[in-house]
Amino acid sequence: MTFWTLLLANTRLQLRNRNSLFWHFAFPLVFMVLFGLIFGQGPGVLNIGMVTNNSAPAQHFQAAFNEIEGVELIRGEEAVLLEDLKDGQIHLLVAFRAAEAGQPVDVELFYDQNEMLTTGAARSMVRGVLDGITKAVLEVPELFRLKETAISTEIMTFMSFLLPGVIGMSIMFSALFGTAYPLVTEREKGILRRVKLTPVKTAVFLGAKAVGMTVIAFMQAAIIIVTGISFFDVQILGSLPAAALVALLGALMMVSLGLLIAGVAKRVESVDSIANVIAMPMMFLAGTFFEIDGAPDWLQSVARILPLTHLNNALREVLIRGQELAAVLPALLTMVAWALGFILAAAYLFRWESPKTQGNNRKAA
Amino acid sequence: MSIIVDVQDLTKRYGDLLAVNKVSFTIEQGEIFGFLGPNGAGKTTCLEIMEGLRKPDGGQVLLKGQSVWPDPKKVKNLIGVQLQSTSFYEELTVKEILVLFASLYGRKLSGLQLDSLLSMAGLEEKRNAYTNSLSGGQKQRLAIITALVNEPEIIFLDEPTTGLDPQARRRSWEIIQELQSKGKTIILTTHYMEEAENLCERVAIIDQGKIVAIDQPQKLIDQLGKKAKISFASTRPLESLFLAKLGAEAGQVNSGEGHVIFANDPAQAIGVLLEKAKQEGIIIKNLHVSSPSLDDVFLELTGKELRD
Ligand SMILES: Nc1ncnc2c1ncn2[C@@H]1O[C@H](COP(=O)(O)OP(=O)(O)O)[C@@H](O)[C@H]1O
Ligand SMILES: [Mg+2]
Repeated sequence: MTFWTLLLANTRLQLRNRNSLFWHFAFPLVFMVLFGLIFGQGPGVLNIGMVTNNSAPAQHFQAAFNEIEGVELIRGEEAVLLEDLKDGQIHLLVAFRAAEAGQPVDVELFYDQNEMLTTGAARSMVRGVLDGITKAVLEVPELFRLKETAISTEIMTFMSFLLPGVIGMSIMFSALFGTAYPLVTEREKGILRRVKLTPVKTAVFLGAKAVGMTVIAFMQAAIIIVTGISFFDVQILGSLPAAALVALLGALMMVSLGLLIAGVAKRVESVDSIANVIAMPMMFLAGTFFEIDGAPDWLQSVARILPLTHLNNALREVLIRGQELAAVLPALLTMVAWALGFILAAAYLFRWESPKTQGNNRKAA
Repeated sequence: MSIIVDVQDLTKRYGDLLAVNKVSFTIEQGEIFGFLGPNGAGKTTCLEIMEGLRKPDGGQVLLKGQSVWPDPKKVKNLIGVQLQSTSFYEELTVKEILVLFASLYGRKLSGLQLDSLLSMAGLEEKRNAYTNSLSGGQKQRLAIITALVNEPEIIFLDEPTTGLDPQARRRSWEIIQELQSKGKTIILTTHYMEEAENLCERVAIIDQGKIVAIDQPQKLIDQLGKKAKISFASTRPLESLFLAKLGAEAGQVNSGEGHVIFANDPAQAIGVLLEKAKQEGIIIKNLHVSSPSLDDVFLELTGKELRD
């Protein structure tokens, strides 16, 4: 009973606050629209060169890309296309090597290292299409017929590749700020002291906050997906319930991190800086908009363990590459581990009042 | 009547500052008990130790026989608290706040309970108003009824009327008296002596963390042993020697031209005063005779004015 009343109150607080409404719902949409305008529409935005070996996979690849808006597939000689790549005429070169029947086809990708954003997304797309083809080939006994159905539905746009990253990023920002900000404000205004006088259990009080925020982050993911499908032609290959589960877990993990930030931040103003110091680098390192394989190895190793990396990857695999949950189990387990770690640390650091009100540790205040 | 609050040797330090210094007192069930003292006297610290919010460095607090420390959880259902600085969730309405706090006690407010709380505070019209649209007085009254959602027996009110205009203050007094009529025990702090005099059955005068006197307001005033307080201004400064001759044993010479003297026979003292003034060509203005008040008790006990 207490829990539900608290949950309701917290949801009201979030939905009645214009600031939080903006950050939770308007901001991700603005982001989507901007990216949509930049990458989603118009021909010739992205030129991909292709050297074909006329194998079946190459043809499927070609067919898939022919249907993608905003991408032009230019076939030609490898040497010429490589020159084009260097001149910036094309952004990416995909070369299908000759292969013997029954052997994997070698595909080589060339790209301009300086064009991280565009080529990063393009490379994700190429990988996605190749994955799609492989998947269609592997999972289906009657190879030929189903290959074609698979490919005719797998129309992908840039936005399809960006969408999981936008969701991951939005969940992160909303959950971090949406959790830490109100909690620290309530502590600073003395509301938490007043709550401390009641017999409510800390776990129930914080649990209601965490669940409320998780639900909001989740709604946000849903809105982004719906917008993506309705306005940006995003193709969802995977199962939505599976994606929902990933998003839910991700939201829970980020909310836990938000609780931890609330424990560390002494004052409302510090929430901003702490949350941004954590979120900003993570946003870029976690492959939200582009892969970071141009970065030094150590940085990539760091990136691989970040909470957002796992969320983004799992979302991408499930939503766009159509993977089963089982395939992203390692990412899911890592997220659970992060969430538990955050919750334990947050519980340890949580305070009902600003240090100065107790007076026992004046220097800390 | 039985003792419901028993405080012994309560002590609290903040670093080098002894904020509460061996405070002891008891309160009977159904009493309105007031802490009267200037800012920084230690009232809030004392109250919040009794509420279980601040840990004492020494002494003990028994509420209805239950020790608050070391485990304040045990008294949470027994007490209701209005903290000195109250703020509410701004995006919630009056009704939502009350429902929320009731639920924090694991209670569900019935429509009837809600109505009676709102009408007690005169907030019926405001039940669906957001808390940031309330006036200062309304906010304070909301804080008081929020302290009642768990039907506590002991109610702590920390400066319930500070910053309110006289009318709003009286409105709060009515609520507090209504609570008393329902058998609640009320402990409040104030630095308004009218409030202590009019509302409290007993007051503890507190200064620099110490209780300097504790009794019924009238008794404290009677103990001063002065029947009347005479205040006046003069065109020229008066010598204290001259004032002493007025028959006031302990005359208080204020700065400049304002004087306050206490006299057991005010009529005689005024006669002498006017006579002397005439002889020396001094004009006496704003002559005022009144009964001594708690202010004067405070002044007498601490040598300081209650209000700055
Ligand atoms: N948390 C604290 N840390 C340090 N000093 C404090 C703290 N709280 C109160 N004090 C000091 O203790 C004294 C008593 O304060 P307080 O109990 O708030 O008095 P009152 O409520 O009578 O105004 C004051 O001098 C105040 O500055
Ligand atoms: Mg105070």
